[in-house]
Amino acid sequence: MEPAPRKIVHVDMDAFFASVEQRDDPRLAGRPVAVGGDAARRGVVAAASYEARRFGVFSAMPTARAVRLCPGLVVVRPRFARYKEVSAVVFGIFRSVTPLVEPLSIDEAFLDVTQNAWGEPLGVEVARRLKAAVREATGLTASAGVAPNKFLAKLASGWRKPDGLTVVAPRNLEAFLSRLPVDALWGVGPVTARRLRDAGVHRLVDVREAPEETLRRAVGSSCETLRRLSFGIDDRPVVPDRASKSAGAERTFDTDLTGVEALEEPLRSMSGRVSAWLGKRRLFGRTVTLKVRYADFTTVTRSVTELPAVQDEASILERARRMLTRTEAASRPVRLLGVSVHGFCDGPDPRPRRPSAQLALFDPDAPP
Amino acid sequence: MELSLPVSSLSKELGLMQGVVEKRTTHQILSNVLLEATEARLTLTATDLDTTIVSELTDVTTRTTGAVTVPARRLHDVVRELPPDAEIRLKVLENHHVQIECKDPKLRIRLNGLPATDYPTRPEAAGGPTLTLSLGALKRMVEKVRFAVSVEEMRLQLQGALLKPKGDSAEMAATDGHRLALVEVEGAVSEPGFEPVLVSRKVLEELSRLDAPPETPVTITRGANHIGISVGSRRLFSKLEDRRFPDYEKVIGKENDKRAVVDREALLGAVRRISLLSGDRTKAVTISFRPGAVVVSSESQEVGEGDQEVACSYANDPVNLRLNARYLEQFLEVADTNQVDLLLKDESSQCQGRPSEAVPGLKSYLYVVMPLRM
Repeated sequence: MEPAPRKIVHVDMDAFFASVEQRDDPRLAGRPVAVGGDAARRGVVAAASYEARRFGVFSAMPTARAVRLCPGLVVVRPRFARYKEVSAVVFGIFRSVTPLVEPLSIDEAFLDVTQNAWGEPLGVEVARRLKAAVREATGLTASAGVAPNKFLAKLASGWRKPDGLTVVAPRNLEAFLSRLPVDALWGVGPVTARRLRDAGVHRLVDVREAPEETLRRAVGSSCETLRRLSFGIDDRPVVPDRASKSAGAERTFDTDLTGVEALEEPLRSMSGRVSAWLGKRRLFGRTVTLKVRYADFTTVTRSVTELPAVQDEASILERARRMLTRTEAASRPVRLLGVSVHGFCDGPDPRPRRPSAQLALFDPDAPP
Repeated sequence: MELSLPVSSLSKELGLMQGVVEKRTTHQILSNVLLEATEARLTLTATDLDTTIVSELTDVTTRTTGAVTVPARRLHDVVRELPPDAEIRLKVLENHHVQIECKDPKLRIRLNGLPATDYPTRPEAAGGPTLTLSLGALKRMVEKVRFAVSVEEMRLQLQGALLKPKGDSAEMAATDGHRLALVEVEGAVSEPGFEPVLVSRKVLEELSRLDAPPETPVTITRGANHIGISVGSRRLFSKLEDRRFPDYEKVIGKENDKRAVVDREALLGAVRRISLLSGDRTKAVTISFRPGAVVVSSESQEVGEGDQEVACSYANDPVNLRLNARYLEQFLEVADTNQVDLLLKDESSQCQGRPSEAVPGLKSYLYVVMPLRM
């Protein structure tokens, strides 16, 4: 029996950096905005709002050129810390629905929602609710693609932007694929695309009929993958948190907090969030870091690395509290607090490492 | 600076320098080679701050003395493309540009250099106690232990081989925690006070690449901060690290009383062939010692299975060992004799290997390897 098809959602925030800026500063709403470096200092555009894109402004374009194309362009310096904060909220929503979240960047991810916390049987419903939750929490729009695999889901989310929702279901798969040019294929850049076009392969579906030799010349050893993709076949799993090296929670307070007692509750709730994240992934961490930003924006961090490695809320909280006494939080107003855990390992005491079949002659880490 | 010299000698030295020069470095000058011309010689220096190599060439004709640094890789690439018997002229122009000129082929190249004054100072080892032996003996030791040096970045104390004077011989040991290679060669003279010293992997590699007649004397000096190894017109320096090498003599088992004598090349061939069938990364093979024969076998669900029998003299109870094939191969590749002894205890204890007959110049060679769990 064939396994039931997977339900993969690809979510891509719309003009993420620029949208965050427009939301944070209402004066920018509806105006062409580019986030990027100074034109005078040869900066480049990191992101452009949809208003700016209409003038032909795109990311990676020198800011100076963007300003020439779009005279009313508002150029804003990027605030990466802010985007990270918003991204954390968005990913928090994703992870509340499924643990199988594979981030592709700060504003883009694959989600395997075959099983999901809402119990929604339809991928499209999950995507609709995700978009609504993101909008509700952040005021930002996202475009989503729903498909049985990653390749198709990513193509689908790019199909209609902004605020799009495109579903590629088995019955409209052929129609969808036949409309795509060959460059839509994963791994096909402009050079390969030109080579393929020269060989008469214009549409993605043309790849199916293309002679082996032609494909091999254009893309080398990946021609088999390419051919599978041209049929819409892609078995790559959604790999959660491939790059995660730390787990952290941060909170900026509405009004500055003063005194250790006032910080106790936020510290506990953040330790709890970090602990839940670790628990879900069966990870422990050797290092706990506390971040304190005072009212005047000076920021300090304190870290402690010790065994046993921690996973539970109480142990993380205990270390966080201990580090708090090494800051001036008792006497200075605090604007932001963050708790994070890194140095991941599989258990509280990582010394007995993954048992290797290779027997040791001696313990190389023992003191001589 | 202006001088001329044969392409072949420059090319050879630059080749040696490549092993030391940093390829990806944040200090651009460390990818350069320092050229210093005096009346009678050209001195070349390359360093990565841990290891330094210095070569002196005397077949040069100096017109004006001076010094400069140029990208080592680039210069080597250029010189390599010239006929070895040609003469080239090196001349420093303004702004540390170096002009390379050749008459046949008639060619002129200008490379961008950096000032010699920015180059790190050359380390010094002079004055410390020395150990002297022939290059042949030293290279032989290196060859016998080099493969057992640890590649794990965290194990700094195992990232080299320990060199230790022993009366009129010298001993070298390397271990990665799974195996130990220990060799002793004759004909070494050491001064009192020459304490055992860790020779880094990079230096071991450079030594094995040095080509000079085997009888060339090598003087190893244990300086205050560096060891210096001087071989003919070349000198290697390595930062002296205070790292405790494990007490390897303690781990050599005394209860390996089962002895098999096997044809070295026959066993090596069998291990190579059978390990091809091993599906996992460790390339595990099973070595079964039976009276009169040793059987090398492997089976994996993904690949398949196979075995090969090799005649051997063995008269004890049968023992099966699972070994990382590569670990065994590396010993068999460098053991000099036609036959080797393999000494066993049981399936979960170390296996010891050594040449079956005496080898001239080699006082002893012992290899200890731990098996894989059955």
